[in-house]
Amino acid sequence: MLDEKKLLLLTEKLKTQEDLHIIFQQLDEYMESMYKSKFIDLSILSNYFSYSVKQSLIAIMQLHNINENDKSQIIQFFHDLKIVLNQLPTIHIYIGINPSEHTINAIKSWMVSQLQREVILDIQVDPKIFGGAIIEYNGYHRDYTINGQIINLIIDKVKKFSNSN
Amino acid sequence: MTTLPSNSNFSPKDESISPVQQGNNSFQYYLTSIGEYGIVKEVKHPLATVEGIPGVKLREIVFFENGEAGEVFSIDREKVRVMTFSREPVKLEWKVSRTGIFISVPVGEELLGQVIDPLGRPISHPEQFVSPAQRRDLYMNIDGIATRRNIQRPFITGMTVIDMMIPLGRGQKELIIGDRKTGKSSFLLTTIKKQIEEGTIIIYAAIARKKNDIKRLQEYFQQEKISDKVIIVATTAHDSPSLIYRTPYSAMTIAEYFREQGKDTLVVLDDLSAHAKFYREIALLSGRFPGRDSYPGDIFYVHARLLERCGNFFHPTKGEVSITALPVVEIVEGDLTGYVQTNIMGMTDGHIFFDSNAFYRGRRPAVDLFLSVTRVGKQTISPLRREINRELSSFLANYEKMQNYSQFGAELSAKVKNILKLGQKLYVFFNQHYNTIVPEDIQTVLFGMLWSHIFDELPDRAINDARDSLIAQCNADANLAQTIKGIGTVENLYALLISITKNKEQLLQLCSIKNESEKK
Repeated sequence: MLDEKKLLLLTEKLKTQEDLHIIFQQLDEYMESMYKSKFIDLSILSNYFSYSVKQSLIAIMQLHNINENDKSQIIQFFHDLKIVLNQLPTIHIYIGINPSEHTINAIKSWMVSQLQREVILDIQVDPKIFGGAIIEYNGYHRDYTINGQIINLIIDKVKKFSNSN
Repeated sequence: MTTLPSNSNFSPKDESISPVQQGNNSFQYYLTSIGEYGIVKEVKHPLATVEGIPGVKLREIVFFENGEAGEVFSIDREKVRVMTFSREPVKLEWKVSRTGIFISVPVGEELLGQVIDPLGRPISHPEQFVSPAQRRDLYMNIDGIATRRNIQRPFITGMTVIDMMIPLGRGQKELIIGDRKTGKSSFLLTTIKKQIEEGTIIIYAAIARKKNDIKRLQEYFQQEKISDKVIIVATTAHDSPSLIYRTPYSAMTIAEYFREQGKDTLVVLDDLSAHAKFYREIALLSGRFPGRDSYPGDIFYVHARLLERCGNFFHPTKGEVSITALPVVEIVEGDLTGYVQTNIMGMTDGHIFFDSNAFYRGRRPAVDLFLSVTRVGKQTISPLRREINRELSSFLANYEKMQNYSQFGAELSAKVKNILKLGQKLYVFFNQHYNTIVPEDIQTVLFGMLWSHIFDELPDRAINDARDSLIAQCNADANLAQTIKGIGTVENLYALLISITKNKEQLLQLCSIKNESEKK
């Protein structure tokens, strides 16, 4: 099985669920081409992946001592890679606006620094949210929206009012 | 995104409000306030396997995102099994939110006369239903021995054969067992009627019954004008197994409320064999290892923890207050050795066996006196009735033996003939229409007359006529009822026979027997 820490070159490039879906699609297409071809040619990686991803994949293969001439080893590597990527923890974030690339990068690096491991962000835009965000991770749901704060405030006030009467 | 629940002072720790009745807003409310959720990964209706909800506790209520509620059934390291209360299965990938609260039922006087489901929702006439404000935890801790008292007060059923031969006490757990259509329900209805006369509150748990049966029950209570003393907690076979599983617990919880109010209660659990079958279904679906007859290993505990909530308890103002339970078990072809029935026999204080052969022979109620047992009932009856019980038991054993010998066709001695004759008359004396309640004093006096050979030369129906006549006259005339009570209130059987002899003429007159003998 692949070591998640040695995949850092690739996983740090994957920020959202969309990125993950794209890389899965590319991996599927590349593996399909490998099954069709009799020969192994890592140079065709460029046909399927961006330059930086290609470089990362080659570096990771070297880190895991994968023989570039052994077709079965390469197939197993990509197979295992899909499994490991699939197991990356997902953080669901609900926000009111479509975040910019810069915001996504900032959120991701903050999450990674907090959790000390690579994560995938599942960002969903909910126009009803007008400030803050709802974060869901590992069974925990935290509402940091202004909507939530206002409702909590109303509930508290209603409770105090009903208790005083 | 977050919406306020319909009841705005609703909080997770507020036990006075049912989470189950709050609707779709509950999911969102609890998701925000508790902040824990899970995802449905597998559905085997009524069980849903959920991943997530890290802090969930056993038996905690959870909400699915469609507003349906469920209860945590088991917890593994990575997944939680939830029993859903809805008839429709939940869907994969649905979110589930924790609530931090446990299942409870509304309890209060408002429930009297109502037909409710185990969650306290009305089944009939929802427009007239007023839900009580107070709620009670469904699985409250069972009272310890410090609050319990010995069973000392008799529990009168109004059925002669039971009151004389298998007497019951208040707080007793007596299993009613028998094949279908052997008169179990008729016995229960008569007992309920008698107990309501004595001021007992009745909780009838109809477990997985047909809707028609529930309707008939309700109509019977209305017809007898006793419905305001009865609460029917009902589930039909169409309901979710998890709801059916909760029916007896809900009934018992309501009974405990009335016990705390100082009222004696009778809980009828009709029937626990159906309850066991539905629990087995849940257990098998959850992947628990099947034991004998495929029942799970904890089936004994499931019933024992229910029946242990009955008993005779100390009450600060009333002195003593009781919860009597009459669990029913339906068997097939008189098989008393099945798993569930032997389990329940082991945890009750006796059983009344309704025999189909006796039923076909015309005995009503069709109770098998030799296979029926009462463990604590005899300590509650008077010394006279205890003596009568002893005499009758030994006589009837002798009678059965003689009856077997008489099959051989040999010439019978006069003594044997007398035993057979008296035995036959005793069974006529025990025969009783299901809606007839025979007061204790009339039972004693009629027995005294029978034992004094007053009915020897009269046709069998004279006993029933005498009984009906006495009941009618005593109901009409309180002084006469007092006189009958006076005749029967003596210390021992010998004194009873003397008292009967002394008042023979008056009794014959009251029973309209004189004319019969003259005609003869």
